[in-house]
Amino acid sequence: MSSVKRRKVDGDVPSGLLDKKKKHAIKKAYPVSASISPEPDAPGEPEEEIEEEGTKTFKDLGIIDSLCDACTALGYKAPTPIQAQSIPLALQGRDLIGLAETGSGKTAAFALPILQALLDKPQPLFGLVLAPTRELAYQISQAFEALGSLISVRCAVIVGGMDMVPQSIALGKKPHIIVATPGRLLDHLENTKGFSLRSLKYLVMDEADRLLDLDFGPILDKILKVLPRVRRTYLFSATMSSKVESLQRASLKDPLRVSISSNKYQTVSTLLQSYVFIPHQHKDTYLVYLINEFAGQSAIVFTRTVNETQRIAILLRTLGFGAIPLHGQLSQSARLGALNKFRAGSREILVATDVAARGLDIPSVDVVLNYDLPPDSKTYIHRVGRTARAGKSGHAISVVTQYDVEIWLRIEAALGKKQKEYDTEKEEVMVFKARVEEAQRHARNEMKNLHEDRGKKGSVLKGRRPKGGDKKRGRDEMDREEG
Amino acid sequence: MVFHGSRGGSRGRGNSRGGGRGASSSGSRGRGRGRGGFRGGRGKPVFDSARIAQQKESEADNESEPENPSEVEGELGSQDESSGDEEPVQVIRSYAALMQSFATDSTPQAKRRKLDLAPGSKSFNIEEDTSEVVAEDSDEVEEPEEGPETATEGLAEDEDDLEDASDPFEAHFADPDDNILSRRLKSLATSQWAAQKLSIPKFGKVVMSVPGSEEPRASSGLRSMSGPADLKLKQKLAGVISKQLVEFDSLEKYIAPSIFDYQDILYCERRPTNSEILRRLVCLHVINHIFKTRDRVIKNNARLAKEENNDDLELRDQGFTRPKVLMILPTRESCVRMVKMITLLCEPDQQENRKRFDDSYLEKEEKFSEDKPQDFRELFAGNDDDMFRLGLKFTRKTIKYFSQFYNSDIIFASPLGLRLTLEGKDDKKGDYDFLSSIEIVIVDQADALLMQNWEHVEYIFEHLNLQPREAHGCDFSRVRSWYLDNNAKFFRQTITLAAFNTPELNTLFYNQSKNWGGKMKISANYSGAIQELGLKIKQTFSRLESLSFATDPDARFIYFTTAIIPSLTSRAKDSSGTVIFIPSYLDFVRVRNYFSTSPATSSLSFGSISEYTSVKDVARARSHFFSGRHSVLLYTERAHHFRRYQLRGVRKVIMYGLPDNPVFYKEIVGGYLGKSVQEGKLEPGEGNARIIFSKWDILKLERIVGTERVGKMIKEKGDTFDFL
Repeated sequence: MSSVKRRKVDGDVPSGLLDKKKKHAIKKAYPVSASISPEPDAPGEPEEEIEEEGTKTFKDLGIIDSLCDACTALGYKAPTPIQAQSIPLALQGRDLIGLAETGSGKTAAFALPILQALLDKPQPLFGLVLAPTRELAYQISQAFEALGSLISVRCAVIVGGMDMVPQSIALGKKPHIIVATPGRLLDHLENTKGFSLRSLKYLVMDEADRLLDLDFGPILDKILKVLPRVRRTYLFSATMSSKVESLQRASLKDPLRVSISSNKYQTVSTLLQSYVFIPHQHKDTYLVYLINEFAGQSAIVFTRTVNETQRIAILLRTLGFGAIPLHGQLSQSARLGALNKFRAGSREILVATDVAARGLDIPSVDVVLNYDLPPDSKTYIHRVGRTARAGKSGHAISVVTQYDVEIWLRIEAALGKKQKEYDTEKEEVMVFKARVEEAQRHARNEMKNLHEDRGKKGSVLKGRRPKGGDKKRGRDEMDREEG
Repeated sequence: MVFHGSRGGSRGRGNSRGGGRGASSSGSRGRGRGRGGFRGGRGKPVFDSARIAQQKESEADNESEPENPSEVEGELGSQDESSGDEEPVQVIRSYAALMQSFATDSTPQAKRRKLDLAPGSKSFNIEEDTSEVVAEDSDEVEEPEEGPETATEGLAEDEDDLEDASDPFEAHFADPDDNILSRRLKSLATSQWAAQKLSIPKFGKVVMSVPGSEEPRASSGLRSMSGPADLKLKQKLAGVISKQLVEFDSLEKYIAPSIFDYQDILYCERRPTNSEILRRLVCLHVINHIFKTRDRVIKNNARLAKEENNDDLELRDQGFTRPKVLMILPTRESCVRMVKMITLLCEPDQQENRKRFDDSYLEKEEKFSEDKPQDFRELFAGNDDDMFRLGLKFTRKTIKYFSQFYNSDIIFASPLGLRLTLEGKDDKKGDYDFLSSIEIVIVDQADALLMQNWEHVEYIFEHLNLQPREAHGCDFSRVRSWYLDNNAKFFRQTITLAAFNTPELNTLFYNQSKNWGGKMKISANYSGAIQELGLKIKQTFSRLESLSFATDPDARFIYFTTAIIPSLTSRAKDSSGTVIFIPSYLDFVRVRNYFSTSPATSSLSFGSISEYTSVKDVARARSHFFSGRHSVLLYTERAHHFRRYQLRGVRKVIMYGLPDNPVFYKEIVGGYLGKSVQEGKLEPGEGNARIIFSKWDILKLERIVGTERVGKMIKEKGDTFDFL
């Protein structure tokens, strides 16, 4: 996606944002505030507020015993706010729009009501979950399978980049739940004989804003056309953009809006955010210094480009850190492999583009390092949302150079507070300089080799050059993360 | 096993009958040569056709992409497809014929008849060539894929074929009992079989196995049927068969229930005399299966059309792709016989491409005289080309030959022919999706396939019932759930018919027959080939100690050089007229090299005949041997299998290993020595045979010395056994 577009979406938001900020002072602690409002609602209308004490159990929400057991087995003790708010409404059979930050348990918030309804009236092809990226789709399906393991739920993942036929076979088995990215799903709807979603009962769009970001619009329209009109629809998103609002009109009926954290740009209080302000030329050295400071803890380093991701991964590895790159130019299996290694803890540093910024459930990241600042504040929220999840604490440190001041100020403005500067001793940092420079040279050579290998079989970087301004990507490739 | 694999490999393609065509050319046969003709020939129908309007376009087409004639051919339709058969003839007849065909453009019908007569006047050599070009062409069918059975049109013919739970078709495929099925699939996953041995007079020894851990009930016995009336046949077929056959004989009685119950069968007693009976039963079963599947599909189509909005309706009645029967056969002639039987049984109103089939598969000429053995004539009579594949498609009233694989119900193929398709050619990628939904495999004359390249058969079995890589228009909502669960191989029925059992067949039966319905191996008690020699010959069987199957060839060679060769060389005079029979080509090479290089054998002159020896060299070796110029002749089993030479001047036979086929023992020991006695070159009773065997030869040995003796000979302390 081009950054131009993203900025445009951004531009639309602030007015609404400012409205809301005025109305809701930032609450002290997580869980913060929850609001439920009927949709469509004029934004100015006062919203009903419910103070959530966090004492409820899943059973109190109306979840049946067998699913409660599954939750317990998975280690879910008490419902998160979004779960506590949305599950009872979902069980009443209402359409929902759920707004909650990443890591707040959204997946279970829609999975549990669907599974409960499925148990009530078992039927193949019962629910469809649309997700913008392949990784997220796999994650959602894993959540469904884990929650539904006691009731033997069959789940199929339909994403691009994998063979069509095994997916057709999986669909032929009539799974209960399909988790899909829109492009490939439409492909199957059009081309796979004997597959239709005429009997579908539940539709979920996860990361709905992202679904729209990626120009899935026309595909979504086509999919919505072949879905039955009588169904429940849930829309979940971390942020609400105007496009999501347009989507909800098309596909939702009399929905309720469940909004956790009324301020879209709020981060949890257990997150310690800070920045280092340094000259651009010492960026690598400071990065290594910071990683060294947090040695032994798991970290994600965010960069802007694939190239940088790859280079920094090599740089860190040369210096003996267990770093692993994750970006959109890796093959699907390499990406899943990278993610699994990181998740399993065999590598502690993940160097990623914004591919990894959203939706991926990596349970324990201790530090998020913004090597390059995100292009906008929304992305910043998503990035730092990788840490300090589920009540744990976490660090987020942004590297700000002389060129990034403006964008950093914008982010601070959006967050609504000034960030602390992370204290560094310049002499201590410069100790690393010589070795970093050596590693830089090595990384440069490695990168050259990688680029030469491009297009060859088994190369790390896929394809020729990324098709820069070319908007006409294949439908199948739409769910592939850019960056 | 390593040794085995390499053996099969080296025999490889070349084995397609050593002499006649020349061993070296047979490997590339039909490819290099076929191609040239193929290209030129392809365009021909354009000229034949009366569609003058399209000529130009097609011609241009033809020039620009000679490899892709599907468009042209598709338009020409069936009539011209059959006329395609004479293409190669035209290639030979060259320009004059071409001009003539222009002249007779308006009457293609008459012209074809004229041309049909023409090849008869050709010399034999040329005809050989043409038939090969045709062969290449005829297997190369280009027509659009039609997708799976759902595309089948038409109405159910007889409504009286009701779904009947006791019908094996229902019980095995359509609606198996879930409890039994899941239990058996579990046993299959761990390869647990419960076996039961029976001995039935007039039928043979039977080993029945059913997946599971518990012993089968002792009372279960072997079911028998008195006649075709007991079978759950489709009405139409029952009518036809009742006219041909009223009562089963002892073989049919016992084997029919297993065949029609979809059990796996390894039948080791196939003879030229019962081959027709077996073929009829198998074809009847196959057609019955195809018709029943199709009826179900058609009926379900109708139901779906009626209840279009009923989403709960789940009708699963087919596989991923249409082909459901695979017949692996040794020669084109064997294919002709199968097809003949099928047409006899299903009495189609119409046969599309029949003429083309006859042209490329049928060879009426009698090639062999009466003095060749019966089993040899059965195998090599007619068109003995071992490179073919043919799709057969059934519709309500017609049979279509040469249908595209994905539109076919039955695929007939030789191991070589199918393997080439599976692997693909240099320009095309291999494809094995069409084997994904094979429900019945018939391997006929497996003993002959063993003499071809068994590795091909194994390769084919490895590619059966895999999940397809492309959809091929499959309607996944109609695919049976066990296909989707990748359990198809547990449902496939494999029927192997062989003249005798071998370790290879046993391995296949053990590894590839995983039918949840159970399997059955049938063999007989042997009285032994030594009983049937018809004259007194001293036969000495020596057992060599061989520790493992893999080192058996080495042990055998050492034994041969230390125990046999000295006795040959010590009395060099007496050694004249010695045939050394060697089953494996690799052993043959080893022994031949030994004879030509070792100082121990320098006093012996020797000749050799293997399956790769040219006709000229064979004639020379035979005459030198007969005249006494060569005292020793090395002779391989395959050479004997493909040629059945009547060697003369034999005074002594040494068997380096035992032949698989007991008939060979009779012919070589009894026949060759008997001939010498007849000709007065050998005193009756003077001829002798020396046979080496090891415990790995137990199956072969059983057939030669008889079931009663074999146990003793393998286990007893003494290692030399004399028979008179």
